[in-house]
Amino acid sequence: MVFLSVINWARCRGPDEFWRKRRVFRLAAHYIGRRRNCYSIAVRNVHRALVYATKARKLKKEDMKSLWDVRITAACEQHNITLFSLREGLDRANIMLDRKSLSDLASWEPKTFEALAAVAKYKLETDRFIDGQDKCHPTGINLNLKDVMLEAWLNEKKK
Amino acid sequence: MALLRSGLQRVANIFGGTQGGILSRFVTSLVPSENKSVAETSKEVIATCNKLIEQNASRNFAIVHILGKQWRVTDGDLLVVEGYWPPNIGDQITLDKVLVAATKDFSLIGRPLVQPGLVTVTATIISKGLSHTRTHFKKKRRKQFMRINFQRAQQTILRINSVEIGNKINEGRNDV
Repeated sequence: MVFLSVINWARCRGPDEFWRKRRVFRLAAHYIGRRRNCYSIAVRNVHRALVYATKARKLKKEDMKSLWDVRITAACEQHNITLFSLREGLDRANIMLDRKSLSDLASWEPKTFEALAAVAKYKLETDRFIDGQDKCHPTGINLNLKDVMLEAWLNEKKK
Repeated sequence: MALLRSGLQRVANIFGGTQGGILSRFVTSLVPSENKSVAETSKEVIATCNKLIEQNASRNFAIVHILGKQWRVTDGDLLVVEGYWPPNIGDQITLDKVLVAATKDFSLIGRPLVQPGLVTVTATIISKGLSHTRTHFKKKRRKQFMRINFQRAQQTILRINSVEIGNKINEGRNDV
């Protein structure tokens, strides 16, 4: 039996060696030392870099998520509320802000965030929702956010 | 004590309403004349907010929902929205899904949206194009497995023309 095409495809090694290698060398152009100049070393590193780049697109999203969580948590601590109860309270109050915009508000619009924290807290209290997380945080137990908030408002009005 | 109660009232009003209600909150007051009119009831808060809107005291910002993402926008912002989106270059559009709108002095928080017509965010489509090429490369070691694909996503660049709060908080309050 004569194979006309399949065997020939297997033999045909794609483009000319020079151009095949050049494609890899162009991606390795910014490397240092033999990684840049020796093909066998360059190709390994280029492949590894491309795999990392592919995986990192997903990791970047996860990293941003955790960064936003850190920012929101930091802002929540200021208002004696946990991240969990803030989100729970906002969800129950039907306020659908995501992590991105919450962290944005936390860092750039602290007054709006303060209001959101108060709303979440109040909503949880009206729902008689007991937050298990709060017991773990001694700062969050006894301080009543409503009073704290209102005192803050009182101070502002006296100015 | 009265203040405390009024504060509670204010918050309580928020939860009485149906969908699309708003919450107006007197956050800070920097102009001395407003300091006298301390918001004791929600009506006064609204009146003060309306006054502030009329004065156009400061720049507004809003959080809008576009193509599954939330953006905090203000006047003159440039947004890059990724993914398929029908509007064409030069289109003037209003972004209706406003989740939060606020100024320096007060914030309107929508549940989940601020009621339609209260806040108008207008934007112009500046350009539509493709993103840079993303290389999707898979390789398994010692298994002779290697795949490479290239992908580009559609991108739309938006200019936010204005974020305006209509002078109608009081009307909105009636249906809450």
